Amino acid sequence: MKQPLFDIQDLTVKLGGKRIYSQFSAQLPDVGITGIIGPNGCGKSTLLRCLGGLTTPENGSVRLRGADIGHLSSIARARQIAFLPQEPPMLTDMTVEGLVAKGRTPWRKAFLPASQADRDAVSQALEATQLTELRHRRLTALSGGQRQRAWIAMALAQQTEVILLDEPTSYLDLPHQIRLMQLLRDLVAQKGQARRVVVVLHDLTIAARFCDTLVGLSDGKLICAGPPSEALTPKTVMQLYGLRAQVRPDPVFARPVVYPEE
Amino acid sequence: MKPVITLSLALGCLVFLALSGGRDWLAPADVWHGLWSTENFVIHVLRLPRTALAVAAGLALGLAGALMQGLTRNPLATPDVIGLVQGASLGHIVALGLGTSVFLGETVGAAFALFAVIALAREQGPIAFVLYGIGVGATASAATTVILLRAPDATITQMMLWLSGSLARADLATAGALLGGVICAVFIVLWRARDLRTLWLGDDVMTGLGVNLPVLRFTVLGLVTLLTAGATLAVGPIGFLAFTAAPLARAVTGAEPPALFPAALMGACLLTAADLAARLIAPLVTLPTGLIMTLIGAPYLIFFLWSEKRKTA
Repeated sequence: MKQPLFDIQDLTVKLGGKRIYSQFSAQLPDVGITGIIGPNGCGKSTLLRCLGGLTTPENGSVRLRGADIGHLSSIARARQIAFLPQEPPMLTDMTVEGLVAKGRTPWRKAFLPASQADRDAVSQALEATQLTELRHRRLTALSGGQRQRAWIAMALAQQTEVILLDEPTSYLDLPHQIRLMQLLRDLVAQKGQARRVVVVLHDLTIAARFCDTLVGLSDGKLICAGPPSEALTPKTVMQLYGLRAQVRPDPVFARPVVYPEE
Repeated sequence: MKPVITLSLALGCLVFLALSGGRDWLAPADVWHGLWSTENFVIHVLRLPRTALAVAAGLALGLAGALMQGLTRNPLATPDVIGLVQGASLGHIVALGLGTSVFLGETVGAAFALFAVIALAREQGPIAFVLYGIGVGATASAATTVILLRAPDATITQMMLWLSGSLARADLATAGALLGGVICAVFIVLWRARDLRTLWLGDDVMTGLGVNLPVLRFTVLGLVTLLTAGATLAVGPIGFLAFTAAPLARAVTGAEPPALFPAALMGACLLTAADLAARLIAPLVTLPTGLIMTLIGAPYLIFFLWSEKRKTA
């Protein structure tokens, strides 16, 4: 088997006295987009934070292509993994370009102004997210979809191999959700760059349509992992959500769609 | 870069104006010649020390305010609003009584107030900072007054003037020492600029960008404490300057957060202007500069809270 992207071994995580994971092991395959799904409070965000090194597990290890991320310095980690939280802060007075430039933080050097490489990375990120024309706008003057793209552009400017996103589609309407997921597909399909996205998603239809692998979690346990057609079955939906459902391929893309029977 | 240049030019003009203005206005040519001949009494003894001190203290407080606001992501959490300045004053008086270094006393007082407010207001939202800060500040002020009342008469008069934030007793040595401290702080800010640029983005985003948060917090809080203590030692407790400087700098120049240097320069502009105003309004009595600053800053605090209310409504 190919080396996994993330190899999680015996992960034990406690948050505020509550045990979220106990001896949790899983492997995320090396594919374009990996979707993490599961009910509220199942530990999706916690797992993503462990992958990004934001939460330090009590025990166990997370390896990125074989390298233990717990042993990396914060800068070295930020040059390999970008992370966006579920609700990035509202920033007044910040322009799109200003925000995207913050993505260069792990590459900047003390006392030196932004290098040509920094400027190139920012303009590429703006272009990839179609924000070049809006770059001088204030974040507060953008729509929700544009603002979400600006944050993703910041993560892109970080030029990492892996991008972790926590429910980036939550506050978007359907067309913006689709556009955002298509943007992620474009990012992982870009030639010459082995970029990987791990994304926490709520909407199963969106997740099945755009992800290469789905990882299902319930109550800190791994329920399923694999291509959407294998990961989403009546059995796994029952295990994940306690919901009786049928799973049928959609007529356009033949991706699995969950039809609850209750 | 542009906001820094704009505000530096504005500060230069204000300094020149502050040297010309007062009970008697000097012609620009006289100010210029007076600066280079050490014999000009009005400039070298009366106006230059005051102005230099206003610039140094304004820079220190403006920078401290912007650092604190960015770290806590709270426009209200500045040294003057959350009781640091009052804590430093208490430390000052206590140090005088104990006969130890006043700067040490001020630093300890400011640090104590800072950690009390941070510990109390933890995870309680932006307004809690202010409320606890008012409590801590009021306690420190009251304690200062009680201690002061037991001091000898000569000390009381002198300390009362200092406590109202006056630049009347300014001397070049104090201004120079404070300016030296500010230059050290600027050097540290430039050195840690990579991490400081991510202020306002919040803990999660900052960690994701590779910022070592404990180190950054220690740096910022240390700088804020020392800058506040130094400025308060030099000019007394000046209210609302650290609070107003950063938002005003951003509004005027369009600088993006954290806008640390624009905030410092705006602080210097504000305090220089406030001191000139104090000298022009009442040339014969020593009207405290701190009073003028409160007249500018307190209405802004009210305006800020009012606009926050409208945002959430």
